[in-house]
Amino acid sequence: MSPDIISKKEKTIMGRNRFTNAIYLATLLLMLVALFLSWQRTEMFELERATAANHDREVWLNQGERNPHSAAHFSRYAFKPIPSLSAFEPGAIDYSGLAIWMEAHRRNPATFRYAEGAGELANFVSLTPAWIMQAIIPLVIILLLFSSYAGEREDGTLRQLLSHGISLRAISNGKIRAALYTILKLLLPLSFLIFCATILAEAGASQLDQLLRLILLFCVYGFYFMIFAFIAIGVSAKTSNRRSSAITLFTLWFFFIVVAPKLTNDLATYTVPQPKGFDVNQSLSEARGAYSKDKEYQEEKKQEILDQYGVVDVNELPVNYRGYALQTNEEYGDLLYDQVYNQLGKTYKKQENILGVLSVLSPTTVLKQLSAGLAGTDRLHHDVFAWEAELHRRYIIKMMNEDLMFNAVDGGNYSAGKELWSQVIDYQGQMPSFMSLISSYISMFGILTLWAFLAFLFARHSTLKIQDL
Amino acid sequence: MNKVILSYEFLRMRRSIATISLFMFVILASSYSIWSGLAWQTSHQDSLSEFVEQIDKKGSEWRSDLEDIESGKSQSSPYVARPMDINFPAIHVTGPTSHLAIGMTELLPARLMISPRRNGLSMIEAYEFDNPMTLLFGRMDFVFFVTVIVPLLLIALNFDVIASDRARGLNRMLLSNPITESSIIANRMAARTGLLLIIILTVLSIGLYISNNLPFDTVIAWIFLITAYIVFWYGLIFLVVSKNKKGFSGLSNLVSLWLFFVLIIPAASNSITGYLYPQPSKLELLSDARSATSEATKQTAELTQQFLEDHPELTIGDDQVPGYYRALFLSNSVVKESTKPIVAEFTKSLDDRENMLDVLQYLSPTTILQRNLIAIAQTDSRSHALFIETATQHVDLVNDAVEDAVLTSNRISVSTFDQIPSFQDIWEATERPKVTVIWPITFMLFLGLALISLTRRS
Repeated sequence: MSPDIISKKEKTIMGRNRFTNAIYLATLLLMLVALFLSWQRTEMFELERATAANHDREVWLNQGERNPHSAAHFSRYAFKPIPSLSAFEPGAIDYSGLAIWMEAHRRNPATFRYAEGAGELANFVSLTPAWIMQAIIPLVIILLLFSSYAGEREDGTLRQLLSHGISLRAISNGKIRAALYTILKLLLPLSFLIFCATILAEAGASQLDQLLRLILLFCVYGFYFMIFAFIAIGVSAKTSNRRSSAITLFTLWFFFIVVAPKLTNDLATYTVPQPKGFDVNQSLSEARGAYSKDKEYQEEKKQEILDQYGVVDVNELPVNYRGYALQTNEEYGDLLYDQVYNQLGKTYKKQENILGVLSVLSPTTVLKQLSAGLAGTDRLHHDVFAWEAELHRRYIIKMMNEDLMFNAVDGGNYSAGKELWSQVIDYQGQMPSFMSLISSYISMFGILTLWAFLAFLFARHSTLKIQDL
Repeated sequence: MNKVILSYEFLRMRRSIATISLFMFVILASSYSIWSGLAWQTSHQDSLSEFVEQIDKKGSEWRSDLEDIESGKSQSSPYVARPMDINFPAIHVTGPTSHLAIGMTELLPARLMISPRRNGLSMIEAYEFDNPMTLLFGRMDFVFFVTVIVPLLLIALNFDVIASDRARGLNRMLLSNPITESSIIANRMAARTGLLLIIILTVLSIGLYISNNLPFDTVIAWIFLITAYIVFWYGLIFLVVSKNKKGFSGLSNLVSLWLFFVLIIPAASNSITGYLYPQPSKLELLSDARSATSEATKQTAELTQQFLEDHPELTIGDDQVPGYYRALFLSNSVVKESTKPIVAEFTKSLDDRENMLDVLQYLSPTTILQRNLIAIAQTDSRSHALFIETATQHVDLVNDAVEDAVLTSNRISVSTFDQIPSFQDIWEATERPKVTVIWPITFMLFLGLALISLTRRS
């Protein structure tokens, strides 16, 4: 008897099992509800973002006549583009700000985090399609597979199969094929629903990039489900009855999905503490005030422009010295701000490295990071937005300072108007392509593949080395 | 007979390595959750104290400058001891059990700067520096341990309380005595659950003992809420194990129920509430504030003129105070007025959502316990909203005290400054949202006891 027949038998049993069908239906229904709620939320985010961006433009253009430096203080906001895949996986998008104020002299963090207003329960547990895929489907896989060997052993059918000359290898192949079929049966309809909800929505990235992300998400979740399926088969083969198999698998599920991610996060933030808001604020404040304290640098820059125009006094300059000084102040501060934010980035990276290393405790930890990365809702994607916004801030402020420098030559109460304001191009945030960031995710792909490989070895070893029939 | 079963059960537990390991896990996990919350809270409090210390120091310097100018020790200048430069720190001081229930404190701003330079939006100091990925993963505090882990531990302890005996036929021998099967299950479960409850309450007592100034009613509320929650799960497990002849099917049903009550119902309750009462757009609030700022800046001269016409008794100061001081003050007043409707919308939306969740919480005891423990610890959204509201009132109070001086380029006197209360005084006098735990406790106890009684009868 070939593995095909074993596999077919498994599929037939599952197909006839009312409990199995009820689980499929319930999971699909839950996914539909979660997708609807998540899609609606993403649409609302995008609408709010577009409205706010338009409004910001109107306010900027109609601010009236004023000094360009005063306008640089008022400045504009950069609004984060919302990736359509966030309808599937909101990831860290609720925990990172939605807008950055691009004002003069200050490099601000992103503000308006959605999670702040979503209430305690949302931070406790959130009904999203990704959460269903990460937490519920592994449980469904366990419920479907925990008796695959243990049940046969308890009912005495495993002994019967072997007495008919079927090898352990054939049984193992058949069971594994059936498990893979189970995964596909779960993954395909869910992927189709996710595809419809995200690819058809307005995307923040190119359609090709979107497609690549979706394909990789499909593969990553496929691997994740395989890990649970292999572990379920392996444990079922190792345990003497359904009860022991179920207890072991439920314990593993609980540890992998509920305990380990929080535990690893606690360890990561304990080893590398979260930056204290007060301390970072202090550093930013020091960076802001550093230029005014560095008299030597101010003199050096002053001499530089005097030499450039071949004059000895700022009053003889053909440009407005204040505009020049404001720009040198900005450039001086930019370097210091970069240091503060690079330090922050290093802290985050260290924390995530610890999370990565501790992913050996649970595949869910690494999956959560990969899933958010592929959906464009993780910290790395947020950092790209924050950096683009910073570059745009520098562009706006430089334009304002240069206008002051070259047009307010007579000094006095110089004002610019709509002509200048309309020259400032809008911040057009684009989601980075996944390929441009892929190097940051390779190790995570590696860890997940390793988990799948080890789980497969465990299943193979357990099913081929059965002693107790 | 009941005593015999109880003694027998304790003996069995003592001899079972699996059960002892499970109780060891309870001790470790619960102690860890308290330590984790305490470590986070200590670091958070240190940061807040540092902030207060720094702002208070600047405040003292400012007052000293004002004193010197008032007494003629130093000369007046446009930038020294100006009323626009008054700063008061405002920090969100949570309840004494906040280390057990971190709640929203990790996310929401806890440091505010009260100053005439600031408005309702800008009084919030930049705080969004946490790694969003670590915020996504969340923390394991005591509330998480009790609400999520404890029911699963109860299931693990009790799911095979009778099934294994049934499978081996041992229950027949027991039933030859004058005792019902439900009494056997109830007693054996009582022994296992009772021991678990004692361990949890002991660790909780240590956690509560660490707190300073802990009111007695808070201790009682924590103990009763957790006990009632465990009684509910006891009743539910009692019902399921009594109905299931096979251990594994009982286990499947119990895990499904755990999933339903602990994860799905709370998530669904939150989604339904969010759908019915969506939170207003913060970006819209921002847009309104920016429009108002822009308009106010354009009209600074007119607004100042109007103010001076309304107050002919005031005299203009001699110093050449920078014009942006006045502009900033006026624009903050305009921003406050123009954002009033949307701020009111935020307050109403939060109230609606919280009121709705107050009702929907009865769909799952997990939601009841989680919401109430966080509310007692004052780390919930309501408590934070009150903090922001109180801070806004404090800003108004400071603005009222300095308005005339700012708009006429004058200073306030030292005695006027001394009459402005600190935020801490106002916060301490503010009445906190009332947390009524009697109904939640009664409801969970009633459910648990009803399930026990129903099972015994059937």
